[in-house]
Amino acid sequence: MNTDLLFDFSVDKEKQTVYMTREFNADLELVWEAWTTAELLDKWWGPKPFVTKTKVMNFEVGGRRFFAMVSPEGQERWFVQKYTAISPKTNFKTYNTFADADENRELPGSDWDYNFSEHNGITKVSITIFNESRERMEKMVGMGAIQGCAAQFNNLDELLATLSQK
Amino acid sequence: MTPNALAEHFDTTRQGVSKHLRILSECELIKQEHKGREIYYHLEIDKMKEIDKWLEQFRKIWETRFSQLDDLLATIKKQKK
Repeated sequence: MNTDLLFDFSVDKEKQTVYMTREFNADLELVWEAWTTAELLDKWWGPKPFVTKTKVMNFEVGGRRFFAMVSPEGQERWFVQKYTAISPKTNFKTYNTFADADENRELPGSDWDYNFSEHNGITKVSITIFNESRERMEKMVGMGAIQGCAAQFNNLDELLATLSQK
Repeated sequence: MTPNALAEHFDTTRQGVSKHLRILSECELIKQEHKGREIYYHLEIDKMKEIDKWLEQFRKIWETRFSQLDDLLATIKKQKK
């Protein structure tokens, strides 16, 4: 495995935004395909030991991906990602929410922004995750530090879970 | 530290500092100690570490996910050759 591929992970507590950047040893075309087709997504989204199963996916603006992460015990956790913007092979945006098996969404969710660029055969994917509810954010932020007590920790958990799709 | 001492370090009102302290206390990230008329606040280092751990778990999930994508991309590239 190529170990010198960049992986950047940071949290802006003020903006309550999470940033991730990762490089992949493949051309843009292939990486884009891996992120935007159900068949390929299900092969890597996991993450182990979880398995991801996409039930519905239309990759178009206004379309959605409705999928479950399944634990080794067979427990399902459902998610909906609505595609809010798509610029082929450059960028797409989603609005992510938890859901139940009947696709009833639990609002609010979070906004995800994915950017793709290739340089010398290495493709860089940058993701920005922003939680839409300011109020919810402020609850989690005090004196510039991320903080959590029982209820607030749940919110934070939710945010993280949305991020991790777990 | 006392709220007054804390306020000196921030460009904010004493009321603002108190509000932050109240929320941090509710979250058990700081601890109050009464000494005479003053209240001293202490940082709960272990609680702070819990938050770090929580972020670390999140990061791990993505690390795992990305390495699975690495494997998949390598497999597809091999198949195409």
